[in-house]
Amino acid sequence: MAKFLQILVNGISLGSIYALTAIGYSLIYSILQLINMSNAAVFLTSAVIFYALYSSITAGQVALTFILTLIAAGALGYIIELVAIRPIREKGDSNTYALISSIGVKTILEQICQGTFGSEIKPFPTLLAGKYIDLFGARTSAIQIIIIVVTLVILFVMNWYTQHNRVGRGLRALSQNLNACHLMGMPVNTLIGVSFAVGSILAAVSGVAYCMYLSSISISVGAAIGNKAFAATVLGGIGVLKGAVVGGYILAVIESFVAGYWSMSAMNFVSFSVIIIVLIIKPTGIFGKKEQHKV
Amino acid sequence: MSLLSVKNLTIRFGGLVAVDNLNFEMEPGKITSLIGPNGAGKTTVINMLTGFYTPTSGKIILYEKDGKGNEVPVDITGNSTDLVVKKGLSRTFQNIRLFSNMTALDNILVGMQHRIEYGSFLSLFPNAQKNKWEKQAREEAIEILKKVGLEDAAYERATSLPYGKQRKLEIGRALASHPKVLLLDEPAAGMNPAEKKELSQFIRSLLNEVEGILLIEHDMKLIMDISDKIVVLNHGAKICEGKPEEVQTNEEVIEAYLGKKGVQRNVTAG
Amino acid sequence: MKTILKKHLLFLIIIVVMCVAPVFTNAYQLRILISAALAMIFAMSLNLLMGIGGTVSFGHAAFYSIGAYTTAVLWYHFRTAYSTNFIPVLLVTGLAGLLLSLPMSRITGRYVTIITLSFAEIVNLIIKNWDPVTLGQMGIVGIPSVNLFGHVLKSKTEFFYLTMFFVIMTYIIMNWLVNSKLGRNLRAISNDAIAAEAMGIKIFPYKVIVFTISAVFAGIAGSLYAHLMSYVEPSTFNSNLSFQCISMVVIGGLGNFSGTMVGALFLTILPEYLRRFEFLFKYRMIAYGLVLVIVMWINHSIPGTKLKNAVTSRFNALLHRKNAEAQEA
Repeated sequence: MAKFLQILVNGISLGSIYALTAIGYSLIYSILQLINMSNAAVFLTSAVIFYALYSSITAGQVALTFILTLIAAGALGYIIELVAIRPIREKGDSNTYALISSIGVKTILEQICQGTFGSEIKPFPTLLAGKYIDLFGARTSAIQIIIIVVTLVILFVMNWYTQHNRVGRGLRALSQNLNACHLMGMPVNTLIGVSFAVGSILAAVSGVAYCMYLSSISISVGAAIGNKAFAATVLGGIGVLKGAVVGGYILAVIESFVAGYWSMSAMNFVSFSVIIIVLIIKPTGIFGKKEQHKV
Repeated sequence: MSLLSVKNLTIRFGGLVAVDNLNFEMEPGKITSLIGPNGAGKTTVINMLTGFYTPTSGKIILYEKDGKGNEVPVDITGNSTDLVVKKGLSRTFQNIRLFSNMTALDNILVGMQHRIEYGSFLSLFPNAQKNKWEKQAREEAIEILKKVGLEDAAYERATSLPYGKQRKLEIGRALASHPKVLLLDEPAAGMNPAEKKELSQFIRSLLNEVEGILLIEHDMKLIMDISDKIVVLNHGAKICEGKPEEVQTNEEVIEAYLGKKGVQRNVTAG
Repeated sequence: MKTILKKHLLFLIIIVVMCVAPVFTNAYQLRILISAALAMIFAMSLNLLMGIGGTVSFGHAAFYSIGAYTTAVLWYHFRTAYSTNFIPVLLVTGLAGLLLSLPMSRITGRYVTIITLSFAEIVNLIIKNWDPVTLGQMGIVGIPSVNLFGHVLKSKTEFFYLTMFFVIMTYIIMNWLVNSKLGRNLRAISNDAIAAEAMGIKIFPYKVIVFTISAVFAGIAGSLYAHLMSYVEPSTFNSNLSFQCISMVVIGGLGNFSGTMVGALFLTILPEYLRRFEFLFKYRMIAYGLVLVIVMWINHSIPGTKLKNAVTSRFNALLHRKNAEAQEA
């Protein structure tokens, strides 16, 4: 029972990390029908920025470093949209081209990280290191609990924000019909830029949290989590925020049970197989709406 | 004598009955038109005839000639699109759907594809059969382009053509499959009166190529000009059928288009 | 004849330049040229899938790795020669392509992309963990040079010309394919699947065919790669390899095979060239990303390709009219 609980908590904390990054994918997709591949690179870049700031300018101040990282990530997201997506979008080209451009951005960011950071594993600051909480016999590290709580708060705020706020309403309108919003005089470009910024900030929270969870950082974290988060988004139904969150948690919980009761090496295998199977049975993911076959 | 007959055709989407118990016949050598207000289910009928939608109930029968010249009914209800094309139904779309990045000639060649009898394996290397078919197909495609007046545009990209020519190319593409029945979905949409006039002659001339035409159109003048028979749909059900002059004076039709008040005004005015 | 020459001029130039190049290059440069030639085959195979078939694949590295590992595993366990392994490579990669195409009966559009990505991850995980066959993380080392029916290619120059033979064959077969019923129908499907259906094209069989053929060519490139490097390890074949391949295709223009060859050549040589500059050394792979963004930004292919297309289509139209007039006269 203790093992079961512990694995469940591991799954939920990993799921929180997937969910946060997945929302970034889903948010952009719901508005532009674009798979923004740069999201995974923002995840990595933010962790590297946090590491760089923490080990130089803001040495030792976790909260301050965290806030600065989020600001940087937000700006990065906005700039990515401005430079790599907007020109293509405004030409009215198919979003396959925007997708390819976002792959370009991903490559650039990853290579910059690799160039500056190097390829070794380095220690990452964590919160309440060595503190454990006994949860019905399961030994849970404090950072896991923090991650879960922070994610739940963010999800709650996001939900409230998109339902009850002007910007949130605007974003929902954009996802319904971009052109109509343009004609209604909405600041479409700003709103899209902001949603890239929001997606990036969430990826940053997720990236920093993941490295804190591991208490180490290496260049490979982006690819590892980025692809999983993307997969989680599709599993839940891309373009549906709720789907991204649920997909993230489902995937992570499955993974941690496979890792706990079977083997670590089977973990990734099972998770990607689950995705393929789900997509074959229900191509639009768990919550996805059927795309209309309009003749 | 009949070419195609639709019997008790019904389709439901969830709770909505889009086409309700529809019956009509198409005769050879005639233009049959399907009209009705927006949302009456006209395009849905074409989608069922061509295999895009499977009807909830009812039958679609195509009459073929056997060796002795007898009519043989063939049930094509619920056949997949590729079978329907092989049996001789070909369509155009309300909002033009050309292969935009391909040349006009290639568009026609794709329309011809089910008659080109060499397979994917033979496509991979040069061989006599492939060369023969390709040469023959190209010559025929040029012929078809001539028929629709696009021989000069053979190597132009489909999207670079002006709107009217795109419509013609789409019709040409449908003809390329050698259909018995041609289904035209609002071919005059977006055309000016002069173009419409030319189009109506063009559609008439198509009867030399195919055995029958099913036409959906909103332009009443065009419909009344060229139709041999008109079937009027409203809310998915047939409300009237007959020759143009019969349909024109039918009260139910006027009511469907103009509403009850329209009828009253018509009556009081008349 | 003249038009054929004109159409394939770029291809001929590349082939002539490449084939003459070994006279002037040193061993290191020759190795880069071989890598470029392999990249050409690999990228052309993806171009068939993306440019003609209209499927954006994030997992093309999977087929490359399957080709490389089929050769390597057969050699390791049975000491078979390259020429003996050739048919099994075609079969195994073709089968893998077929397998990946199966979900496409139900899945369209953007979901295809995630399936390809997941497929590539799974293939990589299998290679990483199937220790008895693939030797897992360790990889297979000591793969000898190519053995063609008993004749061992001792020098890298010979190896280079073998690779060039496959480049030429790939290009030629792709052209045959594109200018046939198969290629036309594939382009029609990627242009407008619904209209293609209305013309009586069954979409699924075409997906199966295009995935299979594309996989086979990627597998041919992969098996040569194993012999070039003389070792294979799972970490080489990650998603970055797939993305690099996309860059090569995109830079040359979707559906344009000679353009793809230029893209592969350019993106293989450029990072190597950038090695010379010490301050750029660490960042040289950024080139792949920059190229993608810039090309998408300018014109989603080599600048001017659009213009060129417009000009050629006018030219063809004119030519056709001339022919018609000549016939009438």
